[in-house]
Amino acid sequence: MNCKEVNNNFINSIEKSLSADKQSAFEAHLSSCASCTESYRRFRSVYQSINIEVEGLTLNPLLAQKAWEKATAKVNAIETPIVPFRRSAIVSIAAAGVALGIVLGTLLNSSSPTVNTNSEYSIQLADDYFPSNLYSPYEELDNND
Amino acid sequence: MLTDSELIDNILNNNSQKAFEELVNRYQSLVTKTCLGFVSNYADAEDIAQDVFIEVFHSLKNFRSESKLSTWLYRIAVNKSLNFIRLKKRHSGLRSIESFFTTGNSNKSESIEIASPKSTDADWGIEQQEDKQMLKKAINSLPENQRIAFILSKYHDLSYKEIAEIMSITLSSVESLLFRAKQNLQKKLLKEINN
Repeated sequence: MNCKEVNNNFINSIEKSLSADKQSAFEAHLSSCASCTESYRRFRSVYQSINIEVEGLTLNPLLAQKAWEKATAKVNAIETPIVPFRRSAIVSIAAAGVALGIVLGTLLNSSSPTVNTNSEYSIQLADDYFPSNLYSPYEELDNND
Repeated sequence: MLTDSELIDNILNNNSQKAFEELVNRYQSLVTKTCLGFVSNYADAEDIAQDVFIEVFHSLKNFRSESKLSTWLYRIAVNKSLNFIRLKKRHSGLRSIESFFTTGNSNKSESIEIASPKSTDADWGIEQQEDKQMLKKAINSLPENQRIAFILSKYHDLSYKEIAEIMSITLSSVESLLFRAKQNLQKKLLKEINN
């Protein structure tokens, strides 16, 4: 066996599912290859952490009682209907909101006064306060001359 | 000792707390071990196990006695665990978006997320913790069906026939799923170890 074949048989060797011939070839390679030996040691340690985890499992003696309390509390509680919101619905509502914002923004922008520039606006404002047909400061200047 | 069906009858007809608790105690190990295969710590596994038994209480009337109670429990435990992982992923996604806007750094919450399972299992040594995290990461990156088959096989030592029954697939499918799961897991673990 070469290094690649040995690496591909790590799990088979740990689970003892290699044939006797293959297992002895596997072990022969490990005895002559320090790199594969180290990889195998590390791999076995990681893979067997399942066993340590399962063996270390301690069961909660109060789980049965807790589950009973919660299960019966759910039955006794007055259930209020919850309207489920799916992700697609939330996305649609957000998209509709953005679209509505754009439409309203465009409408409000187009309904603003027809004056465009600052100078036009100033002339209109001056005209509102001093209508040119009633009063013109230039006329007084003309009379004084 | 009462049989499973006698316990179920007692729960359904008399709403018997004693019968329910006996049922939970009988199958607590099976359910918690299954959940433990999917999540990173005992506390999460226990929470899911509790949810499984609450679901069992509410759905007992729908249980058809043609299949074994344990098969039904395995299925509920697998579904609940997968839902738990999906919800957790969604929440951690939202949290990272939130932290991105509040702190301007989304990596911070990820490091907290990775560190939290370790802190709950204080009995484990640092190297064992690292091994466990590496294995869990590799298992969780497997496609869903391969992951389920692998967990049922490794955490429970179930036969191919039992796994096929739980997953409602054929024996040859189980065989193929387990073969591919182990191959993928081997590749992923070797990549991690050699990094």
